[in-house]
Amino acid sequence: MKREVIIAICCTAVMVAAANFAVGRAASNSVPRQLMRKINAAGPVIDVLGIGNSLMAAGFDPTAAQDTFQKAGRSVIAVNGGLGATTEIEQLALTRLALRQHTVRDLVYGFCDLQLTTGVPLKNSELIGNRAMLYYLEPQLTLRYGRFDLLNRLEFQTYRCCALLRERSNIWAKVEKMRRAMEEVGMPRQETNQFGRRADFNLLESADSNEFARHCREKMTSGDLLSPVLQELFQEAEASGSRITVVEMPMHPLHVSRFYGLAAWKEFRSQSRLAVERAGAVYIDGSGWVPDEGDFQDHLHLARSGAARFSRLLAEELLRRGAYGAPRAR
Amino acid sequence: MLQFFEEFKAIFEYASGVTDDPPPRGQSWMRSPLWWGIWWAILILLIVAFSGQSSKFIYIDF
Repeated sequence: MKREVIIAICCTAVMVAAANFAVGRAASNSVPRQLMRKINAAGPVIDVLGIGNSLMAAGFDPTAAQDTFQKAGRSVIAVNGGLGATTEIEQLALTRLALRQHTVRDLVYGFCDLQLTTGVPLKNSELIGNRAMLYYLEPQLTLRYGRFDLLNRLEFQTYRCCALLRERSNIWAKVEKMRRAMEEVGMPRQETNQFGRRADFNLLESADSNEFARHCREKMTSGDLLSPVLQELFQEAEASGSRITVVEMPMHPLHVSRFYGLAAWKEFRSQSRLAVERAGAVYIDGSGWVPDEGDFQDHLHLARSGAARFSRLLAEELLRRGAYGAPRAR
Repeated sequence: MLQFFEEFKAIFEYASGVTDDPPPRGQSWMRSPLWWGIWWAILILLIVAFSGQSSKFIYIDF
């Protein structure tokens, strides 16, 4: 009996190890790994590197930016290093990856709302989807900035070693897609875009303007205007000789009218601008650059047309700053 | 047909631990430790796939 149990356990272990290997292989083409390969494959000089979350991933069109530079007689390489559903720790890791292997002339960091401030402490269970890259790209950054408690720190180290745990969300995503497909049986089809269900992104906005204003005031009171992670990101970029531009990404006209007219936001923005400038970066308010609702794919993310428009304006702004030769009148 | 369902039920009752008695006939493979190893692995993988999601998926581009 004992021998049979040992054989069964060995058989289980072999199958789980095989599944672990298969999941690891299947994740070799995950979105963060594709982005890492894209950054690595860029030439020795990246003239404009966009870094940020999904707002940058959807909003920066390198081709439109390159074309604008081309028209001004400047040939540049622009790379979109934005990655959906990430926070500043992943963005720091991607920036460091780019700075290690390339000369980055202009680093453009895109954000919205209070995203320059410090987020809540991390939990290991939150490292799913694109955030799973924290397990394999500079995990020491996560341990330094994640503010894990002991249990989460142990979980993080364990999950790092096992593809089945590390890449668990690749399996969950397939299950979730199956669930969504089943939910839609006999029901009207839900609108989706490149990141997910269009309506879901409304959940990421503040519930109301009072709550948004309260968050702004809390951050101003605490003095938490620029998170330590972003401070390191800017310091490292500056030390590598990059110019840093922090840009408020274009937001949906409804978002702008609902939140950006508030006195608390205006005060918060002006303090954020000072904090960014103290960190050696240039602050650009691009939140109103794309005023047409049709240029958005949901309440947060630009559609292709909006991304092209924003990228042209951003390139013109970079040119106007004289970063690429003689300043050009607008 | 009825016999098929009875055998089917017996297999699942034995596999899920409802009974310690193996199916009466034709399923001798179920007594093999290899089968139990495979079955436990399948259960572990099903648990990994279907449980543990701690937050609502919003982004699903991965």
